[in-house]
Amino acid sequence: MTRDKYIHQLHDVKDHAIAMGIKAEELVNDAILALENQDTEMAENVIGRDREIDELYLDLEERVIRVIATQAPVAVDLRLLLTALKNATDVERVGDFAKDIAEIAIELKDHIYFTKLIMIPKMAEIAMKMLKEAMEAFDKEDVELAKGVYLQDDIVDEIFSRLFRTMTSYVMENPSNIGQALRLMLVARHLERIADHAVNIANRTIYFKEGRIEYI
Amino acid sequence: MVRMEIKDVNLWYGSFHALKDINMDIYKNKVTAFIGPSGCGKSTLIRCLNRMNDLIDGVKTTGEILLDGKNIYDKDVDVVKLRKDVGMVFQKPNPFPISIYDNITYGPKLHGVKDKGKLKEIVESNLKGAALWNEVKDILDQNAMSISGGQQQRVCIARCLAIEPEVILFDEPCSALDPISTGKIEDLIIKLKKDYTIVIVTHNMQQAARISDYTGYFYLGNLMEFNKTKKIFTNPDNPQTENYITGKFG
Repeated sequence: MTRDKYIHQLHDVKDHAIAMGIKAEELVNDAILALENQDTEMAENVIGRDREIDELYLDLEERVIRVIATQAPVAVDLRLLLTALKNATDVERVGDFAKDIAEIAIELKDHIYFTKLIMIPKMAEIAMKMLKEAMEAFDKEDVELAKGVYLQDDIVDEIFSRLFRTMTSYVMENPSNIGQALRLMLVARHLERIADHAVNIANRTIYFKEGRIEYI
Repeated sequence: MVRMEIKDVNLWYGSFHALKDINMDIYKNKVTAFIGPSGCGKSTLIRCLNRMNDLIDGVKTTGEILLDGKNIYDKDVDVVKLRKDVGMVFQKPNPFPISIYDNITYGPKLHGVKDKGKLKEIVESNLKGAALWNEVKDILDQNAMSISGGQQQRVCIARCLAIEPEVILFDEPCSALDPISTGKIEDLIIKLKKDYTIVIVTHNMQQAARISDYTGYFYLGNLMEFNKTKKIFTNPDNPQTENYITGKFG
């Protein structure tokens, strides 16, 4: 085996991208807990931790640029670097969505929820599972696991539609509910986007492993 | 369109089996690169394409290499004519120690061109073809050994073009040159493929990636993979190719 430093750099980039994914998943989890429990302290904590993800992203981007500039990677190595960098962009956006959810949690801290939050935590659970599995598929280079991520996206979209109908009826019953309803819809929209980012990440594992670009 | 066909070629240096059952096509107006670690057979194969190996003692070659359908190893083949049709540029610039002008006219004169006006025209058009004319047009009577290495290599390319080859073989043409001269030769090769069929042996994999249309990866005398360059450098079929081009082996 030759080029030890180079191989180390490649592993390093991959490990960083995966570590970012784990942090983003934790952030979404905590943002939803803050929303459910109307816990402003936890929401503030999430907002602060999003900056850590942003910094990790910049660090990863710099590492990828350095390897490309100095090592002229090709084939599977180039695909790894591009996959890691693009995955990190998706993960960074997930972090931003978690922060946005935390901000909504703060806005809703004094509201009495129409009902116990059920559909939003369910959506979050699936979106986080998708993100986790997408990153795991990248880590283990498991195309089958990546393909499984797509299937769950339909469930997230289905819950989103149901939530939309429910919120519409709450607003029709009492227009003063609109503030809470819109904010909860925004949370749902963020979760739906998080699931889409997980699908992007899953897609890229297929590119990384098989070298073909496919959009589902 | 296929210009040269390499069919079941085997080559031995004495008892050493240097090329093993090589089959590949060289496409017209394309650049084909041979890559692989030292001793893999790539230079041996390129030298088969104009029978330069005939000059080495103890070499035995079997199989066929067709140029436009005709086997260049047939007994009735005129090797001098073959080397005119399949020109070669070597690793180290090797201009003759005579003027730049005479370097270019040497081949055409040998092939019977005597008219001075015609020779002058040949010098100008081929130095232009080798992207050197503007740099040397005022010093054509200067000894070719006195110009820079990159310019010497382009004199050798112009000298090769002057005998109107169909195929040009480049055996590591840039390994003795600085990056600027290398860039000029690479641009030139890309330009030349419009009119010629080009085969290049290179140790510089990025060079193969930059300028070639097809790439063959050789290892221990075997052609491990032959594919479009884009495919080889993004997603090769053979894991051994991938190990080599990513530098994990070789």
